[in-house]
Amino acid sequence: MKTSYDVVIVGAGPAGSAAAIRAAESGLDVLLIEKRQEIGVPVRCAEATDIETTERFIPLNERWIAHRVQRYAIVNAVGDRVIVPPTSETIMLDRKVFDAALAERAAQVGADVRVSTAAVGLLHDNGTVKGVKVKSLGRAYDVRARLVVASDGTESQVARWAGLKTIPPLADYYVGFQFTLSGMAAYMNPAHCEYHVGVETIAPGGYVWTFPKGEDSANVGIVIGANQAREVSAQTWLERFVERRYPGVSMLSVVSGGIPVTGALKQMVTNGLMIVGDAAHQADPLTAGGISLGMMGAEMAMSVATQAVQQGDVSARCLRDYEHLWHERFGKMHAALYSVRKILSRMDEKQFDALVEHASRLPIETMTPGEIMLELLKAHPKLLLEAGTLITTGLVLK
Amino acid sequence: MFRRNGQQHVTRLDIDHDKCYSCGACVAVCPPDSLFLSKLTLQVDDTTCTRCNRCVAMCPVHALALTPVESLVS
Repeated sequence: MKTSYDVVIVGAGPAGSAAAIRAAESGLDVLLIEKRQEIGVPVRCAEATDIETTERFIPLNERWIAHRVQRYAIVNAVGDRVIVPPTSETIMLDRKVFDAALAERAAQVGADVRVSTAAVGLLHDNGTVKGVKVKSLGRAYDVRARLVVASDGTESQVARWAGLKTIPPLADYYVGFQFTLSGMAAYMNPAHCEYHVGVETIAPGGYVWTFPKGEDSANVGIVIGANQAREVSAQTWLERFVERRYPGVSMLSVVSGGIPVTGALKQMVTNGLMIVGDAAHQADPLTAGGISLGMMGAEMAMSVATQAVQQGDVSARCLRDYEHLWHERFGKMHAALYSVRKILSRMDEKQFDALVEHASRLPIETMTPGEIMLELLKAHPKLLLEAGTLITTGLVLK
Repeated sequence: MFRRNGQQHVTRLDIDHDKCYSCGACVAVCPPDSLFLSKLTLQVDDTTCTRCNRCVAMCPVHALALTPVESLVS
């Protein structure tokens, strides 16, 4: 195999492939490696993302769009629901097909893509990352690179080797579990994605989602706070929910995993290396959605990387512009979403039920977030204390 | 849980491979990097594991447990 590139990208999930697409489009010589023998397998995701971001990287294709969704609904434990208009149109992906298509796109625009190729260490020279030691199809190689990109997921080894891995407290992790279910037609509106919230009876510190993948099938999954997961497992919580709400359905697949919900790492670069996607904790700190955010992170990283490589300066000082770009664009919003998650996890279930019941009677679609908040505060003055946190983080006064 | 002066740990991390999906949730939160997926099977390096218990809480299916070593012997 060829052993010298401008950029080597480790991990061919959406963030890795998006990085490969952007880097190759800018004329860089790119290698994208994936340790698994097939890209996109196993799926570890709820598969919902927004059209707008997706389209920036690859022309839409019905082969990997499983379903389109018009609305989101927040549902409390007693069944009241608030319908929220989405900020951008949502699609349900078939991740197996999508991930492979995105990597293929990277190949089409000029990147070299190699599966069954695992990073086993980094090459260093004078405190700068200079490439990756890989094992490819059973043989070992040293691949030199001007820049290495770590897109190897939440359990990123590359970020650890580079000394950038920080492990947040368990309170900042979700534990997740998901079934793909069929026989769902009677239980859902296929045009609505549902978030079920109930800290005592549904999902402590998290929520259950029902995301339709078609008229009769859905991804039904759960996240719970990791520090609330010792007594009853995420799997058991979800089994209980499904038995109660969706009797008689069939299980087509099972997914499990953990997601850091801290907001992106403060430090996402070092000399000769950048981290993107889940490896950089770029998922939304409330919903834990990470596909489009990881792809946006990759795009920002590669806009900085292209200049850095072309100018021959890949020092952390130069690459740090990527961190600035990220925090400018998402820093405030993610701090606010982080606060909302904390507030929700402190609320008892009755409080939340009452809030959703009240909101379900408001003409949400005609109101601004500020108006909605004011209306809810009038009816639930206890919320005022919590609202202070939100206002200081800039969510309400936007 | 951790004894100094060269003494042995009194617990050991046990992996229930019937339950484990090899999802890596535990790997991500292991401070000393003692957990790893080898050919998609979860393994623990007992010599570096500090028995911190984070992985146990993090497992979506409760496939991990710290088991007293005495009870393993008897």
